[in-house]
Amino acid sequence: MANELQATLRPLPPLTVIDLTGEVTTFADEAITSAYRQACDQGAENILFNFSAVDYMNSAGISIIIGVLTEARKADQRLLLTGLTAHYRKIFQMMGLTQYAPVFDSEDAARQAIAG
Amino acid sequence: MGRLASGAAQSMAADESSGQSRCGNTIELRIPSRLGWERTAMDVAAGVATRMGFPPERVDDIKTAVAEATINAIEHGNALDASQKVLIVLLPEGESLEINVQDQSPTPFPPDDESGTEQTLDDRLAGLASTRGWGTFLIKSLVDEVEFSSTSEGNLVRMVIHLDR
Repeated sequence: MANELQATLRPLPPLTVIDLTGEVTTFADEAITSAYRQACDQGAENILFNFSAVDYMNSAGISIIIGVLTEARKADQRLLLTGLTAHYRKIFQMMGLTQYAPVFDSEDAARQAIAG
Repeated sequence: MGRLASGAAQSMAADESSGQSRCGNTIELRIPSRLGWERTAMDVAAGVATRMGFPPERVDDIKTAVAEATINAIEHGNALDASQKVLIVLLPEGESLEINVQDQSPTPFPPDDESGTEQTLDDRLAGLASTRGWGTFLIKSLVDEVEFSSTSEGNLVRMVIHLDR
């Protein structure tokens, strides 16, 4: 019944973009962690999660992102976020996530933040 | 439904003099305890809130709070048993919307310090706490009033959102 999440990688130097499509819920664990592992295998240092095609998120799904953030911090990788609606940006801020994974209005803005 | 039923009866008695029974504005939804059905509860709550005149950003808050309460009822209260129902009751009343989410669990809610609300994100990032357990925190953050109670008939989350806040 759930709208199964798809997570696909896209190079956008110096970023590796993980495009998420569908619902970020507990059922998205395998898709998200698999995409993250694939990004790591490719040597990604700056990973941008793109939520613009996500139509529903709940706390269980956001916990998966927190899990990825935990691993990224250990691996000295930077996690960035884009494509969040105003509501979900607020949720991420409430949870303190944006302190560790900054939110950008566009992929371009994220790329410029890294490229300097 | 225990506390819900007795509360509704009291409200009916109180409002009869106004010529409009509160129960006449009650919307009830029973969903199976399978993850995914919380979206139906969200959509119904959004419809009621929009009809009442809540602005879009507040409707989003209500949707997320209802989703989290319903997921907790499905997952923790009713242990993902699809034969068990979650009852969602919406009571639009003037300038406020009351939403009650009730499971059929005989096991009361855990005490607050086990609900995950005490753990910070730093704790979780450091591996000192589970990355999960944010539902109760989000509910408390998104609605104006929230009350957790348990009876022999199940656990109840009562949420109230005021139109003027």
